[in-house]
Amino acid sequence: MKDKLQKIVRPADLIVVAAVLAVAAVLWAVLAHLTGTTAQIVCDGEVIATIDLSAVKEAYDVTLDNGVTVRVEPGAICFAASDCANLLCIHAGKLTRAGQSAACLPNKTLIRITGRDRRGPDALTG
Amino acid sequence: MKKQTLRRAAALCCAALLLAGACSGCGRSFTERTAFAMGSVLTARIYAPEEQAEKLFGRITDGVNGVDRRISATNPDSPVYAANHTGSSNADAYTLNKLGDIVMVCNILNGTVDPTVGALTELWGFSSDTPRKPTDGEIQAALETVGLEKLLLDDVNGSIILSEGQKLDPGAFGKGIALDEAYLALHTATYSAVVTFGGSVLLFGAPKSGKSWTVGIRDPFKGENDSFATLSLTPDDDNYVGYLSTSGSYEKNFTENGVTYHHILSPETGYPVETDLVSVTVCAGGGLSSDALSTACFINGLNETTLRWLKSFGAEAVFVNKDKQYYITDGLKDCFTLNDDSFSPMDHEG
Repeated sequence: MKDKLQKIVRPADLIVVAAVLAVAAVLWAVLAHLTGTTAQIVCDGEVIATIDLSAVKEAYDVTLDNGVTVRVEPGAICFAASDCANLLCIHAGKLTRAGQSAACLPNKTLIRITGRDRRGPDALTG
Repeated sequence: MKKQTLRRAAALCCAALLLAGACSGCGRSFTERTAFAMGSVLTARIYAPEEQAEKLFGRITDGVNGVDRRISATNPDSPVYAANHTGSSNADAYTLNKLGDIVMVCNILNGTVDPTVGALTELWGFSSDTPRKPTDGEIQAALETVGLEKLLLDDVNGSIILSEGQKLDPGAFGKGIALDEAYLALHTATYSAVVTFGGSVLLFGAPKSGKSWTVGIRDPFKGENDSFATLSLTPDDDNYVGYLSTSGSYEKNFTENGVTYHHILSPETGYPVETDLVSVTVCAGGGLSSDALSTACFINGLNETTLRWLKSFGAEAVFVNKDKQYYITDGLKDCFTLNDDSFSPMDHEG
């Protein structure tokens, strides 16, 4: 029995397994980093811009036709200006994590960071 | 011998790569779509291949837009809008059914929440760009029109008939009814989904990030993406359906002469309800009931009657007051995780 087991699993195999796992871990980490944080600007249900926030080096503004200005920063996105009355969209502040979103309802504009924060909940009520 | 080892190594490599591929894909095997409906944001995360998810999302938005076309007070095409502007209107069976459901739930809740408060909400204008505190006289006059018994839903002739000056405001129920429709759009599907509609949530099917669905409860004192606690809801089987709805005084409010007025009006006084509560989150088996209950519980406050209502609907709730204290009903005690230590349990003994 012991002999048989030794025939199936050899010390050399264990080294191979360890090496493979290490490679997989590195690969996975690199992939996860590469996908980064992607933000979307949605107007009236249509995605009008998709931005890789991890590739943003310097902050810039996106001015939309409907009177809304969205600021894009390295790793963050937020509403910078809007012609709406209550300015709830501006008060929502910066979005930095997957799953976060903010909306300007009067202008039917939404910004969000796509995906699901692994540490965050499935949904938010409030 | 060497050949065998090599072959084994190759097999292992393949397995590991598969594993890595699966891991980098896990948690991302969903399609997320957003639409604007009924003055709110509708977001669905559907755990299905894109094509199927797209189809399901189309059905969800059709359902939600159908609710908007029937019972929205702001959609010019809806029978409710027409009735509000002319005193009566022709209504299809669906509209009368939904309004009937609302009236039934409100009757069970002793009229604590009431769809006939339209004249009052219009007066305060919380949804408008120019909200204001009305005079006492204006509020008294508007209060005269409030009352479920003054509303006639005529199933036989297919019409809504309001009493003099009465207006309907289904605002406290619309999102819940819309989520009930979202469920109908999904219910034959075998895919899990999370549908969020302006702060109300529908959880459908088996959880996808563990054994439980996790739902954050918004921190009433912070921004819209911050939660002070998390509920972990563990389904008994894969056919889970859960609805959550929150009523909070932080939602729509305005300040006039140094006084802040929030949007949850008491149908009894005509004023924003005076309470220590800042939010109530209700978890129930239906969209309409969770939506109506969260508002009714907020208005009625944390007391025996409120807890009895929750029990009679098989619902659970989390109450938060202005001193950062929370109260959880028994059924949620094991599901509740606090994310912010500055909150503490309330003294109230249920």
